[in-house]
Amino acid sequence: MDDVLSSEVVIIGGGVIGAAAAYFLCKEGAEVMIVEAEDLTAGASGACDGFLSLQTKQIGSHLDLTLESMALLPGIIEDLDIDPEYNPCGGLMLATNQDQLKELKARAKKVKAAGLEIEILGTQELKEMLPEVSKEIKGAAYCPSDAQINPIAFTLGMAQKAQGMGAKIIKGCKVENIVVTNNRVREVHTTAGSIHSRRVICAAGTGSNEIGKMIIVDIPVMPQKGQILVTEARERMLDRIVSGAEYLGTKANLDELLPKDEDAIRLGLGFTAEQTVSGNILIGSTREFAGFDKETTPEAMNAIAKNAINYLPWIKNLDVIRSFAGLRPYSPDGLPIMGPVKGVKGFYMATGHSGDGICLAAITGKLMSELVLDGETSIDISPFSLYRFK
Amino acid sequence: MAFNNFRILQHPVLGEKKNGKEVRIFLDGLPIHAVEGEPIAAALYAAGVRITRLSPHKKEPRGAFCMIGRCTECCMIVDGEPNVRTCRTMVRDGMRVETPRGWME
Amino acid sequence: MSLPCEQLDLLVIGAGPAGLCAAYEAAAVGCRVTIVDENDKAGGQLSKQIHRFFGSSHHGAGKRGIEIAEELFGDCLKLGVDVRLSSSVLGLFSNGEVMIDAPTQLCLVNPGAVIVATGASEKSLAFPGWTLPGVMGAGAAQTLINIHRILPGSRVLMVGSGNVGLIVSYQLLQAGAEVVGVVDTAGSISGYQVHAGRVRREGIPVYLGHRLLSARGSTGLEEVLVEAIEDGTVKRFEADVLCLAVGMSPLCDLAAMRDCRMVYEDALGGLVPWHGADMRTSQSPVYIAGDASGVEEASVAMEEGRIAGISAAEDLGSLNSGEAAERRAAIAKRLDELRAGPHSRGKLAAKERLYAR
Repeated sequence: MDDVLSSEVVIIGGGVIGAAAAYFLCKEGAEVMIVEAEDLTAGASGACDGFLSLQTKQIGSHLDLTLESMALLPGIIEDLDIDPEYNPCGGLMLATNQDQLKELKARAKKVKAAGLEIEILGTQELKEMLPEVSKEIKGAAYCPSDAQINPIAFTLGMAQKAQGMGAKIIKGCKVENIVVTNNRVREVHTTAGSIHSRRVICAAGTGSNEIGKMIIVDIPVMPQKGQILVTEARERMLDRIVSGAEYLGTKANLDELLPKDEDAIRLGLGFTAEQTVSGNILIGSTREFAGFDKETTPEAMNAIAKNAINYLPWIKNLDVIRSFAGLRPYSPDGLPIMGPVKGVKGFYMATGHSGDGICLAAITGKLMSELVLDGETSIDISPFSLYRFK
Repeated sequence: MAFNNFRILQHPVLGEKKNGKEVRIFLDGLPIHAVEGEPIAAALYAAGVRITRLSPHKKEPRGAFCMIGRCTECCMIVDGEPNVRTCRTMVRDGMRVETPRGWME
Repeated sequence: MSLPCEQLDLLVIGAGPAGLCAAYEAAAVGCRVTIVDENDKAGGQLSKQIHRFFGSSHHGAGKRGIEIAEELFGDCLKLGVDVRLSSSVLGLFSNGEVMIDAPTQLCLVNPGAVIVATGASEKSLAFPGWTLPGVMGAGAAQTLINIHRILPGSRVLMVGSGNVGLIVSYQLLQAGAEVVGVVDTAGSISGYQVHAGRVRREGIPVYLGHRLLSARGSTGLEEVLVEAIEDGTVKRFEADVLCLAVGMSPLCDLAAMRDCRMVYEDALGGLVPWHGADMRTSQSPVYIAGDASGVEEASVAMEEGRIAGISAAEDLGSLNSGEAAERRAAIAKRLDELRAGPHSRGKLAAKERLYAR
C-alpha cells in the first residue's frame, strides 16, 4: 500500500457541486480532497446546457435557495481565473396557446410575490425582444434575472481555484467503501487507496445512491436522461435563454403545462434553447428514465428538432453538428438533498439537484462549507433534508 | 490573379492535366477561375488564396488544414450559407464565396 | 419515429482500402453488401497514393495506390455491391439502426452487420503560429497535389521523417514545389530506406534532432524557426507551407458511439476499438478494419478489411465457420509478413496486446 492519504474533508464527486464545495471550504482554510471516479465534469455538469433559469424553480424554498445562489455568482466569477462565460441575459418562456399563457400569468403573480421579477409579454412586446419567434406563440413570461453560463468552465474554474488554495483532486478514483466506526466516518476506501477523513461530502450526483449504500442509507437519487442537440456556430442569433411553457410543465410536473402529445409526454419533451459564447445553439431537451444509459436516440433527436422549430422556425436552417445526453441526479420532488445523515456523523449530502445543479452550486458549496466547519448553516436547509421523504 | 499560378499542368507520374470545364466563382465579390469537379478550397489555393476565414474571437487568419472535411478550418460562407466546408464542396459556376470575418464582439 | 428504416444485410462504412476489400470478400461469398462513403469518389486515401507499392503481389506490389483503388472499386461493382457515395454516417445506435446523411435526404438503415472502416485523420502539433494559413497536414498537401493537381505553395518545410513525411516531400518535389527541408526531433530517419534514399538523392536536407519553435507570418506562413535540440542553435526557414507529418489518429467515433470497448494503444495512434484477430469488436455485429482499428499501412488495411468481410459473412450465414477460419488464417499469414519488418515491431506488439485483452 502507498502512503496512507488523509484529508480534513473528502468530497466525493468532481462535478459542479463538488467543485463549489471545495471552493468554499478552501476559502475557509479547510484541507480538502476531491475524489472523482472519472474526470472533472464527467457527469451531469459536463452534459447539460448553461441555463441559469430562475423562473422555472418551485415557488418556496427552492426559489429562495436559487436567489441566494444567484446573488453569490458575481463574486465567485470575479474570483475565478477561467472565464465561465456568464451572461446575465434574461430568459423568455414561451406559450404556444392561450391556456398556457393564462397559466404563466397566474404563476407570474406568485413568483413576483416570492421576490422574483417577472413580466408577461404579449405578442407585440415579445416580437420586440425575440423578432424571429413563431407566429403561433401567444406570449411569454420574461424573467430579467435569468442568465446563462458555461457549466464546464464554471466547474473547472472553481476546481482550479480550490486547487490553488491547496485542494487535492484525485481523478479516476472510485470510492469502494466508507468505513464508519462508533457512528462516525473514519475512512474512505478508494481505488487509489484509503483516505483517512472524519468528514465526507457526498456530491456524487447520479452515483449518490451507490455511495449511500456504503453507509446503509437510501439516498433516493436516480438518473434522469436529458438529450441535447448542438448546432453549428453562428453569429449572435439568440440574445436570451428561451424555453417553452411545456418545459416547465415536464420539469415541475405541472399538469396544466404538460405537452398534449403522448410521445412528447413519454419523452418528457420540453423546449429550451441558448446560444453559447462560441456561437453554437444548444437545443433541449428530454426527461427520460433509462437507467445509466447515456445514448442519444434518433427518436428524441427528431422530436427535439421538430419541437424547436415550432417555437423558432429559423432553427430549421441550422446544421446540427452534435448531440449528447446527460444524466440529471433526479430526486423524487425535484429539490436537492442536503444536510447530515442520522447516525453517521461526518457524512454530509449535497446531491439530487435534479438539473438545477449549475444554478444551485454556489449556495450549495457555501452551505456545505458552513455545515462541515461550523455545524450550522446561515439559512435553514431543513426543506432539503433527506428525511422529508419518509 | 493568374489562373495557372499554382496549377500543376505537367506531372512526371500523372502526366498532363486534362482540361476540365472552366467555371467562375466569386470570392468576396472578386472573380476567380476554377475548374469543374474541384472543391472550393482547392480553387482558392490555385488562385493563391490561403485565408479561408478569420477566427470568431481574435479574428486571426485561418486556412485549410486537413482537406478531408475533419478540421473545419476551411469553413466559409457559400451562396449565403455559413459554415460550409470548402474542401468538400465542389465549385459551381457563379458561386459566391465569402470569407467569414469573425463575429464575436 | 417518422423516418422509414431500410433493412440491409452488410453495411460497410468507408470505401477506402479496408472498406472496399471487406465489401469484396463478403460479396464474393454471396452477401448483399452496401458501402457508404462521405466522399464523392471511392478509394479513400489510396486515391492520392501515386507511388508504387512494394511487398508481395497480394498487396498490389508494383502498382500505384490510385490504380489499386480503381481495381478494387471495379471488382466491387462487378459483384453488385451497392455503393452510396457522398453519404455521411451520422450515428450508430444501440438498437442497430444507422443514420445516414445521403445527398438528397436523411435516412435510417438497419443492417444485419456493420463494418467500420472509416480510416484516420492527421494529427497536429501545437506551437506558436500553428493556426497560420499554410500550416497543414502532409496528407492535405498530398490531396491538393495528387488529386486536385494544385500546389499549396512554393516553398515547403516538412515536419516528420516517417514514411508520410518522406513520400509527400518527394511528391511535392515531383509536383514542382521546392522542399527546403525535413525536420524531425528523432535522431534517425523513421521511414523506409527506399523513401529516405529518394529524398536524399534529390538533395532535400534532413534535419534530425531538431524541433519546431514557431511559425510566423501576417496573413499566412512566411517563416519557420527550428531549433537543434542538442545545442539550441536556431535555424530560420523561409517557407509558405509547413507540412505536419506527425502521425494519424484512428477515426473510430462511430464504434465508440456504439459502445464498443475502447483501448488506448499509442503505437496504433491512440484510442481504438478493442478487436480480435478476426476484426470483431466487443459489440456484435460490429466489425472494425483498417486505420480505424489502428494506424498502419494501406496494405495492412486491405488485409484487415478482407478478414472483417469474412467474419461478417460468417455471422450473416454466408460462410460456414470452418471455411471462414481457413480463409482468415490464410490472410493472417500474409498480415504477419506485412508486419514482419522492424518498422512494424511496435504496431505488431500493440495489436497482439490488443487481441489478448
